Amino acid sequence: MRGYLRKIIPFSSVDGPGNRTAIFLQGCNFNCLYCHNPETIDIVSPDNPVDNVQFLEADDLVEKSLEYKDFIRGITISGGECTVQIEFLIEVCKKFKERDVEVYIDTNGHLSLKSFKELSRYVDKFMFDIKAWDVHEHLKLTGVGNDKVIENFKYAMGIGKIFEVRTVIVPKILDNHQTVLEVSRLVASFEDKIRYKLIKFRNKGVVGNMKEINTPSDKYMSKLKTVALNNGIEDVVII
Amino acid sequence: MNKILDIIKNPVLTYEQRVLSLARAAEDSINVLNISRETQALRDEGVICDLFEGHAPYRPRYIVPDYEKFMKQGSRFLDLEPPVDLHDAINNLLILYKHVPSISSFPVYIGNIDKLLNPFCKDDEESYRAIKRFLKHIDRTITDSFCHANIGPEDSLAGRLILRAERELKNSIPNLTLKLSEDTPKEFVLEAINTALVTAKPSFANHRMFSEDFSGDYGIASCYNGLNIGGGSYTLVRMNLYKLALKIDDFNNYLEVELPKAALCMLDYLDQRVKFLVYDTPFFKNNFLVKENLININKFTGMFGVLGLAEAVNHFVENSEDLKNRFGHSQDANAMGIKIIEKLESIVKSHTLEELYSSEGHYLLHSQVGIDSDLDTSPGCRIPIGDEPEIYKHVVQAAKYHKYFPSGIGDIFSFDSTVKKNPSYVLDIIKGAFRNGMRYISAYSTDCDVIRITGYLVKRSEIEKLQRGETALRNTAALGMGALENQRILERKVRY
Repeated sequence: MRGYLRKIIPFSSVDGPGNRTAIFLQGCNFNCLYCHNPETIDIVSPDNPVDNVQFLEADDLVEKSLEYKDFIRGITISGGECTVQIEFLIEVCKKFKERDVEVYIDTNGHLSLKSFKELSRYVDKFMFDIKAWDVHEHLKLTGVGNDKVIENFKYAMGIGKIFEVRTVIVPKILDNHQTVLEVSRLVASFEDKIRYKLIKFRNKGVVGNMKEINTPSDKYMSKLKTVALNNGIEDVVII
Repeated sequence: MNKILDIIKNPVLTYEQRVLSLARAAEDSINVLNISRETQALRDEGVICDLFEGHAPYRPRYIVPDYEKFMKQGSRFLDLEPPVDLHDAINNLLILYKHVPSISSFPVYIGNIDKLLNPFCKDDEESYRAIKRFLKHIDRTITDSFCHANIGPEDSLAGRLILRAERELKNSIPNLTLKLSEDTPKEFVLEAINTALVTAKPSFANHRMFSEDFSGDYGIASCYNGLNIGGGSYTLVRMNLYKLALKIDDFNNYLEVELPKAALCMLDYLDQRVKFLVYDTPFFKNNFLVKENLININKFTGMFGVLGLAEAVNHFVENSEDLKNRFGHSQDANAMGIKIIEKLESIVKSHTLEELYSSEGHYLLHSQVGIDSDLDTSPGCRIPIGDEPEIYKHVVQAAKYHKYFPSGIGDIFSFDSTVKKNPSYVLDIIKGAFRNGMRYISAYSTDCDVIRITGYLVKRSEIEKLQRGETALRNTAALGMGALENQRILERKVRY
């Protein structure tokens, strides 16, 4: 089976633990106001060709990604949103597992629980975005609701497959306090101890009105960190 | 005599640096070696260079004493009993260090210091403070960055205390290497990487590779030189492959005629130096290190150094102005590099000198890091600064040369400070590099005050002192200043 690849970064220090080969698939089912990689959003189809995208076999992608196998802890598949190409993704993950490669998935979690469960069988850990807790806010920010996101997150927490959860903190337009509060409560209700990464919104590279929004202050970020800590998360990182 | 007076009047030398410079000038005022006209011509052109070893070698360039033996037996000459506690152990070592000669008159190897001190360490603040004082004493008295300590490959309390102290002290001396094996515990290696990202040391030696080359019995001295413990190297002379190439247009002529000719001249020059030291000076007869069996002539070798491989290859490459055709990028250029080194290896291995006892009568190849005055010439077999490919290509390409150089070769990678959040990233790269044949690797972060120049370490703040015309305690600051100006050290490609 073939799928759409945006690019491969052979050595990445920021896509999970250790050195990882990061694979970015093309296409996203969200349209976030603060997206920094809008070129990866378009879903490729015969009617909608996209530049700089390769259409390749799962085997070829696996082979290409393992060129520097000696140097990496594992691979991380990201996007766009990699679960948009769920069948291709599952096939690729299966092939990595057959080769005993550690697989991390960077996802927004917006897919059916059935597909997510199937995918989880071939994934070591997920790096999971929860962009907003309030469904209306999530809709405003991304263009879709967050029911599936929360449902899949709970499932992955339950089976111990979350590496970290992340929220981008955007002043003024999001109720960041509510999201951090609810996500950390939810995480704390599970036995698994995971990291909560609070990411400062940065207006570099964004478009439209979002350019007017400032990066949140250190003081504001540490206040949110305290909220997460007070709710029982031990590992809270601000980046 | 003007040279002597210049040294006496030099406004930036410390007292110690002035005395050593005067001694060097005295040695260089005589000519005792029988140097052929051809060899002298190559020396005058800078193709062959003895790196200021002096005209009349009266001590080995690199001495690697058996400090473990010293800890067990003490020293009759120094009137020292074996230590009974940590303070004794540290004091004994600091005393011995002052009596280990080298080309710079400072010891270039001060032992596997974690193993030496661990039997006396307790997990308390007193041990930590003693180790911190020990390291500070070394930095302030052995004022030469070629002084090198080793730790590992085993994890130890002393090893961890040393790393913790180095993170706090941020000193350039001693240089430090972690011998890294498959069995070195991950947590200990991560401690070492966290330290390197703060203060540019330790570097990492491929323990398996060095152990195989030296029958398990090696120390890393000076920049990154693998040598037998209880021995060392009489001498190191280097060949500037680029300067030789500049005289020739045709690669085959270079490879088959001129390179072998120059190599034979250099081997003859090396032989002269070794024989003078061994037979015409009393070093191996009267030095207490020899008498007390802390070193043994049977564990000595000599080193045949090279530098400027990249520039030599690029000289012969067509359309070398295009990066993709150059050394480190094009397959053809890389193959030329390997041919040059393999040719040298075969010449060096065909030459024998009995006195090279530890290496079956042969010199060991050494990828030399260069000196401050080298212009447009990269250390050893390194890819030039400014030409570096992406790290994954760079490591694989660089590693291809490491097997030829048991007595030292190394590559340096500069990481953005964000990498400090994920030290396992560096660990994975080092492990991969070792799996691909890399012998020695250094890493530092762009925001360190201590920076790795080519093999040795210098504090930026000390270079700034010299640039302001003030004296600097450590003599290698002057080398560092020259290297920053001539070799673009601060422009190394930053890895994320």
